[in-house]
Amino acid sequence: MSQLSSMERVLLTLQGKETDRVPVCCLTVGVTRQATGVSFPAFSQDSDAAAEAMLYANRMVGDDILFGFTDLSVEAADFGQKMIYPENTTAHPDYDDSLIKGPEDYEKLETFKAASGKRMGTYLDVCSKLQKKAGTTVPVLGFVYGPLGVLGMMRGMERLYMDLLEHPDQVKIGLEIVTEVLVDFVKEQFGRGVAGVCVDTLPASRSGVAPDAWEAFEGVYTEKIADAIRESGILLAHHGCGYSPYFKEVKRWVNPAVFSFGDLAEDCKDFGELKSVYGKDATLMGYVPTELLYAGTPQEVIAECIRQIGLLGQDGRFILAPTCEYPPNATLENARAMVTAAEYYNDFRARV
Amino acid sequence: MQSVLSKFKEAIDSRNRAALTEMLPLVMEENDLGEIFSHGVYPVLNNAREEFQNRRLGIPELLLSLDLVSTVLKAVSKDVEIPKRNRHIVLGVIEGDTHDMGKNIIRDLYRGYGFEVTDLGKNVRVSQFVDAAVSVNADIVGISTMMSTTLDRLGEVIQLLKEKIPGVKVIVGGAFINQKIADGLKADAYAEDAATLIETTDGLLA
Ligand code: B12
Repeated sequence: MSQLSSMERVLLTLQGKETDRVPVCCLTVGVTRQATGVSFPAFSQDSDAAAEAMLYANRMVGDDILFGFTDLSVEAADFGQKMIYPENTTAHPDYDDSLIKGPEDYEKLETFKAASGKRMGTYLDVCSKLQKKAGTTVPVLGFVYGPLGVLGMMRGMERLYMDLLEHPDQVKIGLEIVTEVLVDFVKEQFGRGVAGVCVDTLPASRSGVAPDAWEAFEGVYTEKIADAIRESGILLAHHGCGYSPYFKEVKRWVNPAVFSFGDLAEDCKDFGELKSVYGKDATLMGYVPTELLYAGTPQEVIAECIRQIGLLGQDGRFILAPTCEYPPNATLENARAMVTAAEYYNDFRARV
Repeated sequence: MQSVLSKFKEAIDSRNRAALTEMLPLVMEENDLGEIFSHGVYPVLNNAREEFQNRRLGIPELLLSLDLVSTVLKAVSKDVEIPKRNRHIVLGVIEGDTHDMGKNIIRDLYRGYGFEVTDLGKNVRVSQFVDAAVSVNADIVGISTMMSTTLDRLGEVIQLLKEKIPGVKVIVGGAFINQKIADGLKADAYAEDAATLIETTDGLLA
């Protein structure tokens, strides 16, 4: 089969068709700064700087999806959460000054238009720029952080988790308000031409809350965001990086076309079962450990990628990707190693 | 009739803050500290750790249980010395990292099991770890990180601690760490999670 463009490769894979090779999405975020030398604060706050870094890294690495994501604080910052933009690591909220200081503050959150938010607006500009410069050949994947996660950024995750048990009704009022803004945010992303949007429901795993709590406190709300993405006619992807992710519940409420995951589904005994249960009508995207990408040699990374492609790559519907964001301070070499593994799969398989 | 002590235990077990607040003064009046701990706090902590490991308990439930145990510890330690192991642990999340849920669970467990803990919080500078460990003469320094951006600094702290306080033990943990990374950093121990923490720590101090 002749060489396909990334767009063609990804589209065929999503349809469960054979392609020249398994597509790769390296989830390179903060690490892309290395390509252009831009700082962490500029990466989060300057759309030209972020888009340029992402484009360079994509060209250097040769992966197949431009993952438009800067950090998990974009949405919370626009609700008014005070932020810290450190020089040497990813931006984060100022947890000493949380916007939601007590259960009574959830209802004080106010809705607004996503495009009018400073950080969401900047993010939307990143989407436009990526789309304009590369979007016809490389699919651009937008991003939205799930409602419970966004609240966690404004309350502190730990306090939010305790509020779920002690003040559930107040939390739900907050979730309603946040969800309204997030629905608008994904519609705006569609307006910028992205090929799809990835929803990250971080608490939907054993690293988060119990499955029934996830359904009640995030599933119900995420469904509205998922519907808005689907109605726009673009790809709906889902990401969760915790241990034992709740595929079953995520499928029930979000039903994504792509599951980006970091660990085996809670209800599957092995990856063969994962492929047969969830990989038949949706595409699986994973799951090269970020630890390996940080500490391993390219040879070790390639060996793991070959193993995973062998395990999950048959009949399309598999995109090789890390378990979560590519480690921001690793080198880009192992991202390139992931693409190399996909390109030379048959070659390497004969040797491994 | 149900004893005050069993009502107290039930209040923590069912994570009922209001009931606990009501029972706390009563149980302190009727029971000595040994009883409160051996029949109240420890069974709850052991149970919570086991339930967490068996996935019958989620992180929010574990956090709340530990928060309630902390409330008990604060209340009783106002008046009396709580059962101590006479071991001091300095704990923190290394600079550049704000993931602190895991560290907080570890802190509350250590305190619940009678260790003295100095919690430096998150985003803690190398020098803060060393200064705190020197000033309290720590037996153990526990360092948490969930990220890779922080590993260089983690290595730096461990090296400095070993230079400044011969004999101090360093235990590390967090999602990004595994035994191999911990060995590479020259840490004395690594604990995967709350379930194995106390045993690993006891092993380190033996
Ligand atoms: C929840 C979470 C968050 C929350 C954190 C809330 C909080 N206050 O802690 C939020 C949403 C804020 C967050 C933010 C980010 N996150 Co995050 N997050 C997670 C997640 C999903 C779960 C972590 C967690 O809380 N688990 C629950 C607790 C109870 O478990 P735990 O932390 O593992 O702790 C247990 C053990 O590890 C151990 N332990 C922990 N510490 C210690 C210490 C000692 C001494 C010992 C003995 C044991 C021990 O015992 C604990 C109890 O059992 C992990 C994924 C994962 N698989 O773990 C990613 C993860 C940690 N995050 C990650 C990333 C990249 C980020 C961001 C940079 C994303 C972004 N681009 O904005 C930011 C961080 C910004 C910053 N500068 O700090 C990556 C880090 C990887 C890397 N290479 O750096 C991870 C690993 C995801 C992944 N698979 O790649 N995140």
